[in-house]
Amino acid sequence: MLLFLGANAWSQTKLIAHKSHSGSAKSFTYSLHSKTFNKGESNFGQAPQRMVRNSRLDTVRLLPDARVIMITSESCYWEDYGGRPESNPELWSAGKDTLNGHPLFNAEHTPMEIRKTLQDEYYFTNTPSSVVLIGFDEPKADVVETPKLDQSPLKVRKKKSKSEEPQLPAQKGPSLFYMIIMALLSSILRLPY
Amino acid sequence: MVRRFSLFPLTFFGFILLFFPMSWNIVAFQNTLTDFIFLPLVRLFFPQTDFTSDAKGLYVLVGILLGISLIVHGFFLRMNAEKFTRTMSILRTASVFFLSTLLLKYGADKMFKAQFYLPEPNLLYTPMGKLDKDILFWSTMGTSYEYNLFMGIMEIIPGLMILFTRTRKLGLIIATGVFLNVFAINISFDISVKLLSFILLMMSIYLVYPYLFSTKENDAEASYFSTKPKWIKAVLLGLILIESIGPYMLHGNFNDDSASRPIMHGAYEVTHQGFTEGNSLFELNIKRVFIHRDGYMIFQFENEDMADFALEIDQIKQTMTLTDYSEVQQILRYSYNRKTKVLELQNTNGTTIISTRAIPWRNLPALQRQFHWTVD
Repeated sequence: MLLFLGANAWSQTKLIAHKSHSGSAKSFTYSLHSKTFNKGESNFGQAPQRMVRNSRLDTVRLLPDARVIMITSESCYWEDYGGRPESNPELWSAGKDTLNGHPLFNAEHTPMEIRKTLQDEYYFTNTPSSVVLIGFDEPKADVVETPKLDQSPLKVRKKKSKSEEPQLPAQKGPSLFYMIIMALLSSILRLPY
Repeated sequence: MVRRFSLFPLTFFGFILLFFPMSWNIVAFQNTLTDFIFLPLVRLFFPQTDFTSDAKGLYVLVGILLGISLIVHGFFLRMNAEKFTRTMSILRTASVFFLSTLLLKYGADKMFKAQFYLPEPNLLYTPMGKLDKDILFWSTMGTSYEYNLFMGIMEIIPGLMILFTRTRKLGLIIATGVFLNVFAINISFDISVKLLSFILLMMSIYLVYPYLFSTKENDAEASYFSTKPKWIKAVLLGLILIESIGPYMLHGNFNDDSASRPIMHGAYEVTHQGFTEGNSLFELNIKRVFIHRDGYMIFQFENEDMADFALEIDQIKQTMTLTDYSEVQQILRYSYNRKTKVLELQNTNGTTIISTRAIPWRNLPALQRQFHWTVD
């Protein structure tokens, strides 16, 4: 498994958790002894402790023989801090992988098209602009026009270099003070829908 | 003079505090410790069991702890009066802190809408009569943010009150009412937290009893271990708060209803489906497909039956791996358009099996905020 995205829940009680995904009473017995379905331990009606597991697409390198080398890293955290294992390497482990004949990562697509598709159809934790694409041809359509004297400078199209692309502001985590205020406000004012 | 035999329950509560396998955040090793010490013994009685809530193993564990408490209490009885009283006051104080921690933890879980979470789409589209009472209760509670807020506050208030001498009596009275209600719900709706809720009810009744029936003996029994200097109490209070609200503060999620869901989470109605010979999964008519936030895919058939599978999504290969309860895996190719919300599933041969379109499940009446003072 190259990439895995999902969440495990140490939920409620095992029975409530099982029924929440339409599990039947009969299959509950199986689930208790299944590594796939028995994802956690009972916690006596408490809130679920979810493990959110996703991935970052760091680099895609197109080789001359149309194969693609991809480098991924893992983004994985518990929604609590129970100190349990962070991930199951049997499901997926981050690193380097080679693909052949991928429908998106091939010479027919430009980096711009690839980034747009990543934006629309993929759910990596990092932004498409942060993915390093190597070996993909830049589009030829972006021609730098020389302005004529009788033309308005506004008509000039100039391809932006990568460094000029708009960058998202760096995200800072909320401060403790902010979180306390938010906790109080949300508990008093915030409505779910 | 303290009535020595009447203090046996405190010894038992002390062992509950130490070994009842709660899912603590800051002392997560407790589960491992309990498993290591008691699970082999418990499995002599029931080889397949564990310490799941209301599993046979948990009842056996509590029985073992009762037996150990009886023995240990025998040793306590040999202490001189001063040591005995001191030991019991420590146990009584620890029991109060235990109750307080649970009240605050469960209260925060409710207040932040994490315990009775928003019902999953597959449950919302299940006919009510097909749901068991426990999941029906859980889901119904999950539809009201306001009631969860109220319930949470009603647990947090006594949880705080019982920590302080001046408010402990009233706090314990309210806490007893809370635990009585919880136990009644668990019994009435067959919710599988009966054993723990019974123990908590007994604990709160035991602790409030001396306050309600004040006699010389009861007053002597109701002595608490002094947590002076005050910083000890401050540290304990801090630990309790970290345990109960720490995860929410850490992740900034104060309303689970609006917390982000995994990719493609939701409900999908089938717009077109083709059948594949020999593929048992799609031999029946599929009406809806659901993706559960905990990593499951659920198919709803025309006859309202459901089939659930563990789900793994491979974004690069655009495949979903479904695993059934026999651990048999089936790989489906998928395509999903984030804008049109169309999800298509194909078998590995490339034949289109099923096309679906997302349903705006959050618009269902059960999830709307409704309030009417008047009906006409």
